Amino acid sequence: MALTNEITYTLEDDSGDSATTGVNVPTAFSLAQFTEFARAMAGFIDDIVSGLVARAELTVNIDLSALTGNTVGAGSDVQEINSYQFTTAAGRPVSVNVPGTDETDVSAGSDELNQLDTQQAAFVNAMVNGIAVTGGTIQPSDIDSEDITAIVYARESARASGKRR
Amino acid sequence: MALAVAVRYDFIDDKGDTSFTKIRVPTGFSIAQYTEFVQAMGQFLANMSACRITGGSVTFTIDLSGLSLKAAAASVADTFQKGYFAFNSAATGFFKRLRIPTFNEAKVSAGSDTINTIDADVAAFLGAMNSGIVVTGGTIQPVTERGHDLTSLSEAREVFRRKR
Repeated sequence: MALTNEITYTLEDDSGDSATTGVNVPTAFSLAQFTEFARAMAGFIDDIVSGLVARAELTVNIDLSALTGNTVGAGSDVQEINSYQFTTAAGRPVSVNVPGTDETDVSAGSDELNQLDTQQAAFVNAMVNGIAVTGGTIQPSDIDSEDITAIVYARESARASGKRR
Repeated sequence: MALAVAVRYDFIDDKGDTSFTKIRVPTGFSIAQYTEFVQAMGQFLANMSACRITGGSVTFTIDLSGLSLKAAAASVADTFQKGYFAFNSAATGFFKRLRIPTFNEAKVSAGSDTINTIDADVAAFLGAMNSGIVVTGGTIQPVTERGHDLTSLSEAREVFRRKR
């Protein structure tokens, strides 16, 4: 099945309630071209609604079919999470919670994730130093695009999956 | 400071439960560069998570400033009032359905719940969905979730649904 991208529009009514609608588009265009499309479509939608077109987002789906070792482990649980807290240069905390703790990564007698573990170290290094891509390096950041500079802690934790039983 | 781009990974465990995580990265890169990042970071996550990654995506906020959009919702606007549109695609049996919240009652034909497709604004929207929108260097044609080009309108009517 071909991947598609989606442009999601959030509309608000006069009560302040919001709801969304989405338009699927093909993948073979640039960010600038998708932006042109999304802005034009926002105008068309605005003309047929009585609410406010409050926001538009482009979601680009990425092909991850080439990942290796991407399998479901026996006993794995999305409610067991690797809880990381990073910090930016300005000291702003950035939390990342990765579902599916591998118990062998947890240090004995504690909740701490073993940051000397090769796989843990590779992830933390990518978060703190970024990943080299063609023509540059993409450095994870906080929500205001301020670079992550260090890790504060890495520990096993738990979080409800959101699925009701 | 520019709002960061959100990278999202979806996970599934051996009970079939799902969850996700997000990583923020700065704006200013191309889709190809973000793709490289998402794939590389995805491998790091796959290496250390006991769950399987089922999807990865990057979400960009589109700048809507400078457009002549309404500045406020009309007093009659309600998110549960929706314009329901179904489109045929180039592949038989595959459709695209969308519900547009706060649909304007004035665009509905009198005495029915059928959307007036002759209305100039509705016709313009349908034209964009069926024929695409011209952008610099090409035309972007809306598709189904499986990537089939939309070709014609199948149904257009007013519906009422939950506020979501």
